[in-house]
Amino acid sequence: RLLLLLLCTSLSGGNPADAATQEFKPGNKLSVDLSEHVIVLPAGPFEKNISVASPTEVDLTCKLDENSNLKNPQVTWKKGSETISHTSKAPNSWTIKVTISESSHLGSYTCFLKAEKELSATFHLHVPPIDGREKPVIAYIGDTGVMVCKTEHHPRAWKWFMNNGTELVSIDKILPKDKYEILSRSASESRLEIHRLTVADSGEYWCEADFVLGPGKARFEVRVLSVAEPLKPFIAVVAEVAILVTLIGLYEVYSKKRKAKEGEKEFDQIEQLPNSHI
Amino acid sequence: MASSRRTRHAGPPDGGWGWMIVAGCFLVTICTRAVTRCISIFFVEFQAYFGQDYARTAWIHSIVDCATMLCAPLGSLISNHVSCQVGIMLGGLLASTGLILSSFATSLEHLYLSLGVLTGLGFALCYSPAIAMVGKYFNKRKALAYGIAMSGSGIGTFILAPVVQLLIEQFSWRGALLILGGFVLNLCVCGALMRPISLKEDCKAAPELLEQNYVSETEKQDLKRMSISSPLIKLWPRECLCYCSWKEYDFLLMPGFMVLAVSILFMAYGCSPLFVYLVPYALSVGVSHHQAAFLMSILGVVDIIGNITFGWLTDRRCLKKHRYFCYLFAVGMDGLSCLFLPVLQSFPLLVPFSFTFGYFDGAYVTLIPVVTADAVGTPLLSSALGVVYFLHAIPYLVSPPVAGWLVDTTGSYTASFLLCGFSMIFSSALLCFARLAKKIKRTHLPSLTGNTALKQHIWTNGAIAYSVTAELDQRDVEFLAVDTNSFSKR
Repeated sequence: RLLLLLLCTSLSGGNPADAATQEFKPGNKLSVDLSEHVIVLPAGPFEKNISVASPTEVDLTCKLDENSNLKNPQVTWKKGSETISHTSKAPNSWTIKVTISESSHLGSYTCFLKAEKELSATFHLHVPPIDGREKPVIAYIGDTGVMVCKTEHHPRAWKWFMNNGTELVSIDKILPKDKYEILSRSASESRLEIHRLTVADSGEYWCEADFVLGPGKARFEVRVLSVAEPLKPFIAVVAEVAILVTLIGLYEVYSKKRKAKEGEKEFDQIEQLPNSHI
Repeated sequence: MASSRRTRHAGPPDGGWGWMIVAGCFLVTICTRAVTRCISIFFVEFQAYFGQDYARTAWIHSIVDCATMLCAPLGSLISNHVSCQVGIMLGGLLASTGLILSSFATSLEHLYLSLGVLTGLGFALCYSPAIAMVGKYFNKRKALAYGIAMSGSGIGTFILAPVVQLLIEQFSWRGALLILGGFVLNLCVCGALMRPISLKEDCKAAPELLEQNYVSETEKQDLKRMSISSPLIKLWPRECLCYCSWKEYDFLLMPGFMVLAVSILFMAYGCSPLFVYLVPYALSVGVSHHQAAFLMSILGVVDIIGNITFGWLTDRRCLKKHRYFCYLFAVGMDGLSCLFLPVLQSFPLLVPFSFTFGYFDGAYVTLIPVVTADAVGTPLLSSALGVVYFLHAIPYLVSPPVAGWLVDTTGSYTASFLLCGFSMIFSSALLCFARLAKKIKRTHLPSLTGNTALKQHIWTNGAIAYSVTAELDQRDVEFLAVDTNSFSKR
């Protein structure tokens, strides 16, 4: 018997799916008020990430698998060191109701089951994760550098910062103003475009999404290269092509000359034959 | 004097320099088909950089594919009239220029032109001439040679995909496109390898063709034909294969080729949406992202295996006479597996589907040039292949959007997959009926008229001599001898 797990793939911010594939997935945006999250023990997984964008109420449940040997465990729910009272909606199931109205209510809630073995499961409640780019953003001198921040809920505002070595400086405070352009195609996305790049623009950039319950951040690393960098492998490949074509051409000329010589030899032999008969 | 006479081969060499040609064609397939597939890796970068959505970015891939297929006849025209080597080298330079120009792109429209049209045109100039060249060098081991040459697209994708990903991470998409442009320049190396070959069959037919030209002049043919054929007579001493452009496309009216063309239209219509919609379908039935990607990898790898093994298999003596039926069997099996697809709703069931579809997909791709050569003969293979690949273009363009529309309106993939399956089975059935009809016709006609009809056919179009000899296999030498006697009498 399989116990159904309510997978909140959207809230836990899974892989950024293509626009094409997203249409064909079953509807995965759960409405904000209804939320029940379950972890089944001892099967696992023992951790669950839950994204909360705005104030809501969540029910967190730890369930014991009917086929397990653990009988009548002692259950405690804790957040950090604070114990929370729970209810039992069904046999072998223990639930707590969490009301999230400010950022201090976010965090990790753990249920501990004590019987013959000690088991625990944790629910991590946090603001929605921001999808940035883990690999460095490569751009060329004089070109435009683009950084895109995406998330699955609508933040109240987007902010961009640059790390100038000691502190984070807000982008709108940096001069010249027309060098940086912040665009938003939709509320859940923000783009920073840096025009006329120089080597000095390399470094760390942060995008911050302001949610009701707190900010979410993503980090970018920008590397500005000179145009000479990709030219080196390019010239190497072109040189290889030129060498191969020359070699093949020379081989063709050589083999044609050889065949011509052989052909002349045959011709001479054929001419000699009538003479020899005579 | 002997040095100016080019050595005429009695028949295709089936080896020797032929293997260099196969290597060249293998490289051409890597540089064209594999690079086309790897262009989709750039889409995420283009989307982020230009701020456009997926649909507009995906147009680039459609334009490249479309340009490669639509301009295929142009490629065979150039390689027939000028030289195969010049054609492929020109194509290589064009494609490379297109890629290098697109590394400087400032907008998506710029990319449509440089990466889409220019590169696609360059690829088109290389693809069909290279494949036709393989057919000229091989007879007994033709299918195996084609199998090895066509496996380039699968192996190339396998190797190039991670390499392109690495290049993008190191140099961003601009640098990666620049280096890819350099890589595509290797097409010029392939062009240099394509040593022209002149077969005795082709030269034998041409003097007769010449006589007919003289006859037609006196018979009041239209002026256009005369003006075209007179420079042709001057060119004749230099090039055996220099046919008049109208006569070059005579094979279009051959019933055998017309049936093949129609069946290819349906087959291309059936197979193209599958590669586009397999992953979304798998995701919709609950397969994870990694497993769906794995399905595509299986498809790719088994495609390569199908190319080479099926090529080797159909070269065996027992199967050689039945190559036509092997081709339609492969297409039919693909169609059948498409019909079963809506029933397969889990990952363990989709894996055997990937295996079957991938294997038979590789199988029929290998046999397309072989079956075309059997239908029109080797001298016209280049032009015929140009037309065959041209016929692939429209279904490739039309079929995925139609399938997408079906999915949107019916809400499930069943309708579109059933349509694909039936399309491919119809294509295979059409070929089967055509062959049966041919057999019935032959047994009904009395043998005498049959022979003279064949001879007349040979008179007008020397290419048929080759195709007839291919069918008769053992008796071809005697037949040719009889032929030359009949020619000298006239």
